[in-house]
Amino acid sequence: MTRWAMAVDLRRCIGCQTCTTACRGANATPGGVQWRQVLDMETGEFPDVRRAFVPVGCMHCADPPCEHVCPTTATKKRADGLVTIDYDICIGCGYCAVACPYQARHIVHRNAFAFGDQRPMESELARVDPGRISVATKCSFCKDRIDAGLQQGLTPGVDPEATPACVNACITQTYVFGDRDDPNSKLSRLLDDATHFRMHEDLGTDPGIYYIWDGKAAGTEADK
Amino acid sequence: MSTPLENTSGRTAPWHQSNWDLRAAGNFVFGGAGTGLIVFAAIGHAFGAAYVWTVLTGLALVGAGLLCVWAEIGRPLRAVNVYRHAKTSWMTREAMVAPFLFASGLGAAWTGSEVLVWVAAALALVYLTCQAQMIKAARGIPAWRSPRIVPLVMLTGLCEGASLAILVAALSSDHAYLKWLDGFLLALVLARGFAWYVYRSGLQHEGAPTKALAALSRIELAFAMLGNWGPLVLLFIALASSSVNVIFWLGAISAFATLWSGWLFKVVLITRAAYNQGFALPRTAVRGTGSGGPAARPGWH
Repeated sequence: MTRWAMAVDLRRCIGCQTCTTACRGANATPGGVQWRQVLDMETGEFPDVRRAFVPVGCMHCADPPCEHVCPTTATKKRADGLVTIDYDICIGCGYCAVACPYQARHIVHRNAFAFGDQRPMESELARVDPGRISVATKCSFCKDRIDAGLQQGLTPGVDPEATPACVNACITQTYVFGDRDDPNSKLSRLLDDATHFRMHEDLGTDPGIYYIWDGKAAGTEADK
Repeated sequence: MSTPLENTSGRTAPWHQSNWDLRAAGNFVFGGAGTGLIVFAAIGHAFGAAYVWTVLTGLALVGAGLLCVWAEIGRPLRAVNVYRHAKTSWMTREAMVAPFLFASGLGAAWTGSEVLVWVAAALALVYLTCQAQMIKAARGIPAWRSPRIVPLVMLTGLCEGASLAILVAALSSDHAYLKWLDGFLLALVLARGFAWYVYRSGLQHEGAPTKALAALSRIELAFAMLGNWGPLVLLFIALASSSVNVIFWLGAISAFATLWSGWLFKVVLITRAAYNQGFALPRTAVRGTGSGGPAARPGWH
């Protein structure tokens, strides 16, 4: 089996938002909608305060609450682990958005443009997609790139043409994408050598994004 | 449709969901009250009361709730797609029960069939269950996903139904079984008050966004005190009395307070206490040498 998943090395991320921009460019999301975000989180109390940059988005859960609640079957989980939305079926009820514990889903009812409604750029107008208005949208792990790449015999996570845009764009190699079920994939090998967690793991959604916070030597099995 | 696009990017602490607003709350408000009323139309019939207008009023309320949902969805012309996922979606199940509920309810009103009115009552109970489970299945909202929300929402719907049945009986001069209805409402109000405290203490114990807990705390006086324990005392007095006037007036006041407080609770639950999960870090990363930083879960109790 294949399960496409992602590792995010929190030790590397510098919060530059290049991934956010690359995602917007690759997926033409409306203004204000960011499928890939980088949070700027502060932890601790003065004087021991830390700052963490945390990329978030759809976690492509193995047990996705959004898929369970969707009344239309617009949201589906593919055999390779990707959680997808069929925009032609979705009724925009928002049930998936309130079921997602990662705030990954967005519903907008009009297109917003970077410089305001009165001044849309030509490039924005060219990529307006009425089919994605008033329906749920979210990060797809750039499934079109993955599918097209696989058809050409490429390997997602290895060949840039078959890899999500955020992973390709990252300037610090924070992201590693690959097949979690393949023990020899770069992703699996990296995770074997690192200490990591997954967001809100206690909710039992089995998310597909792993956050690395330390090397293996410093961590324990209990931390994994 | 949802509220206008709100820029939520970069937030880490839970913020209020913006996808379900008053229109979604309307489905739970009217659907709960309508189904509760249909259940009590059947119960009232067992005590010899007429049920036609009660059932029709209940169906009208359920219909109003469904209209609210229809007005909420982004693509109303595709609404029929809601029937595609009965396997796991409580929204689909609610939608599937609705036509049978209307058919049996209208059939009961049209033919006077006693069997059909009980079928309608059973379907109303199923519909109410779907609504309660629908809220629980929204796992992104800590105040909704608690399993304790199911009995609370169902008891609230039944309280509203009993309250409306009392008001209908009072208005229609059908006072013969008013005392029975007062008794039912007393038992339900007692159970609802208990469910409310179990639900809230569960949220406190398991943890929830601070603002969600604060939103629920703010209705303690209106919902629990004035809308629940107050009517409980009045109903107790009414039942202990042999005066028809006392039974009538205290029953009607209690019914009004219980109905109003139930609606208030559901509106607050959907539009004020629905803070999402937010983001959390069980550890912060090791940067260079040293150890990782502490955990972070902003905005949580």
